[in-house]
Amino acid sequence: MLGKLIAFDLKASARILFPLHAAVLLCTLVGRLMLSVRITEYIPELMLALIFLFYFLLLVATVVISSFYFIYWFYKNLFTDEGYLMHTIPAPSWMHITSKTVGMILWQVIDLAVVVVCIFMLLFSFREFAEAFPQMMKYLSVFFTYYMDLEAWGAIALSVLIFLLSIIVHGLSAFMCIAIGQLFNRHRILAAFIAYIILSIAVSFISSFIMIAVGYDTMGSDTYLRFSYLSELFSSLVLSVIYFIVTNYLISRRLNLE
Amino acid sequence: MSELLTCQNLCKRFDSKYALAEVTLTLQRGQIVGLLGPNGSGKTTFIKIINGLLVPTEGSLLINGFTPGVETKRQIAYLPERTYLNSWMKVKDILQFFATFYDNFNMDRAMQMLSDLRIDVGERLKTMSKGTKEKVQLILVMSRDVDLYVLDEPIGGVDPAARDYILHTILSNYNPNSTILISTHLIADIENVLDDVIFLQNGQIALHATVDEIRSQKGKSVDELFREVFRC
Repeated sequence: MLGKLIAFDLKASARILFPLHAAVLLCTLVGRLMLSVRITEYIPELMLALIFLFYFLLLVATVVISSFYFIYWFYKNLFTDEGYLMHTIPAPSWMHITSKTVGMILWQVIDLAVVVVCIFMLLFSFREFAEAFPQMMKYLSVFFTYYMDLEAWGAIALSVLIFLLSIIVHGLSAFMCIAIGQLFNRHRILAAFIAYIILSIAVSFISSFIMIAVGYDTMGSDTYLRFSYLSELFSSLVLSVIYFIVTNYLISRRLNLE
Repeated sequence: MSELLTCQNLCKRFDSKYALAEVTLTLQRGQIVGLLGPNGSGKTTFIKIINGLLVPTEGSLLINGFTPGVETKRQIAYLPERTYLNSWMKVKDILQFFATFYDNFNMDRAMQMLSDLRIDVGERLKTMSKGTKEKVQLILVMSRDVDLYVLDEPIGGVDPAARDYILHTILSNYNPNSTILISTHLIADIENVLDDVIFLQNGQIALHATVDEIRSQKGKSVDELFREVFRC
């Protein structure tokens, strides 16, 4: 059932997100081609600026839409009229939350990959990139071994883990706020926003309290870096679990469809 | 006959107002039950509780011995009073959706009914009229083989000819062990198919009787009795 739900969510989201990312890649490819054949030298500057502006806006729009799509989809698919269909299929609420979370992670990763690929494609030709790659890895490795006594790949793995967890924790916090918002009979979206603001304030208050309690200001810079990495990892994990449990409780025991 | 649905002292409160108050009733298998009452009498609230879309404030509800949850959702086919179809889907997409998520969905029956009502499976739901969407939704629901069909205002938005077809469909697809709970204002149209009626008034059961009892004891049709009980 979970697999079916994930497939459904991916299919639904791909309708919007796939063409968007395909368009970005296509525009980048055209841009790279224009740079490679030096056609840009014959285009008026104003025109070039407009093309760049358009491209930049497309890139920003893609990133923004990708990060908010699943939050919107979570609300629309589960708490508007479509919720009448979704909540009457024989699937427990944790599967709905998991499925939406998986879809969100997948698209955020695809989105990041597309953006990175696009930037590299515009900055370097393929030959330049292939030459520069070993040098880049060396710099990264020097940076991370200096601060964390870890090999570069280990550090990259850790960063990836933290990146994934940060997607999860942000997504689940939004999901939880939507589930709180739906408890109200009116102004449900407004209530979700207010819940999000209160949650953000509470989390930052508690985290600064903890930071002060452990004495972060007296740490050396390398201890501080290690500490911030580990605390980020730990807090994301704990918060994700809490948000998931609360959201699941609200959907399974406090569902209140209009 | 055996019990399919039982509820004891079922209450649902919104803020300080009771939408359902101390509803206690039993539905047997193999019946067509009319859930009748004016607007705001608690019909939809009751139906949402049966389908697990609302959680009761007090009291208990059991379907096949289970409280509303994954197990009961498998055995209930629910037609809400609103359109729940994703507008970007085509009819064949929503058919696929039902076939994927319900193991008791009968695709052949659905295709037959769609062709009887001349609905194109390639058509997008977005471009359909409200009445056609309602027909599609009803076909989806009636194409499942389940113990309990819950139809909230199933014939409100469709024309009388389609209404006849739909009632005929409901009756001809209906398995003798299943129960159909129909909520409607259009009592006269469905009176002849009902076995039992439940009158809801201000969240409470005003009457729960068989249609035969109403006719023989009160000497009235259900429609006449309804107009009398709920006179404004």
